[in-house]
Amino acid sequence: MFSSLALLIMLSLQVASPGAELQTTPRELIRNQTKIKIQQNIAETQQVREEKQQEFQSRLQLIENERQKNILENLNNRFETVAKNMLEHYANALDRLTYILDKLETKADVLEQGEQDVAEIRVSIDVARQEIENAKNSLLEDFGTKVYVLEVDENNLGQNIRGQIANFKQESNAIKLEISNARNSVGEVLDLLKEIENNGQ
Amino acid sequence: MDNKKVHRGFSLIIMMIIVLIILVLGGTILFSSFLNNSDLKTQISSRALQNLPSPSATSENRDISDSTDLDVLEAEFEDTTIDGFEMDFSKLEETASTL
Repeated sequence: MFSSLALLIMLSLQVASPGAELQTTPRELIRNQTKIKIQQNIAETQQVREEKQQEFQSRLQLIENERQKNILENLNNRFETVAKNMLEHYANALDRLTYILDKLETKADVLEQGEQDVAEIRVSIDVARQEIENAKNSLLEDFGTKVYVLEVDENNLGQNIRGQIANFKQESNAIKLEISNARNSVGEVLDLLKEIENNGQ
Repeated sequence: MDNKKVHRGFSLIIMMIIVLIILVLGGTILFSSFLNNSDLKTQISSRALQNLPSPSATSENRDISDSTDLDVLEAEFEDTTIDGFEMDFSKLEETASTL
């Protein structure tokens, strides 16, 4: 009874969607390439991550104060999670900017076909594309290949950990600045296109 | 008398099964034609293949439309934010300061 029902459902799906096949949109293609790169980074740094985690755990055992132990464990988990979330968030933002820039370029093509001068826009698009590329390289090849696990030193524990978090903040601010510059460049392309479109009307 | 009751009950069960089959088939056909008319099937399939999480409600994860309308693109550009980690850093720093 149930097997025949399942067969009927499968048949009706086939009938209702003939020739349906997987398609990859440009947006998905950009996103998938980034995801693959992130996965590669995770795989390549897996051994180092495990070693650092083991080192963290063995160092943790040397600390006698239970309260400090708990804080360190909590901090270490948050540290890794924030780094991971940041990487994904920024990668996603750069993918979106790439896709928006592609759309803006298409719009520039349309305006050019309508006899509008888009030379300045072409230059801005190239600048924006280069800045996105640079930011993406820094994010995926530098920031994304680092392993964010706390290194515990029993001497000057607090100062040491605060120093590592300060370094992490500094690194992520540098990446954020690069992405922010790329975003501003895309914004300039958008403004230029709006100006030309408004003047042309 | 008892035989009549049994017969009526049996007929009722058969009727219910038939109605259930019709409902399932109807729903399946409607759903599959809906899938066919949108790119949802592609999204579902590719996510299943790559084991990716479903997009959250955050604007960064929303798909960008294919429109080249500048107002639409501007809205999508404004949606592309890179902030949101200040609180995480504050918490990390605050917790580290208790060591």
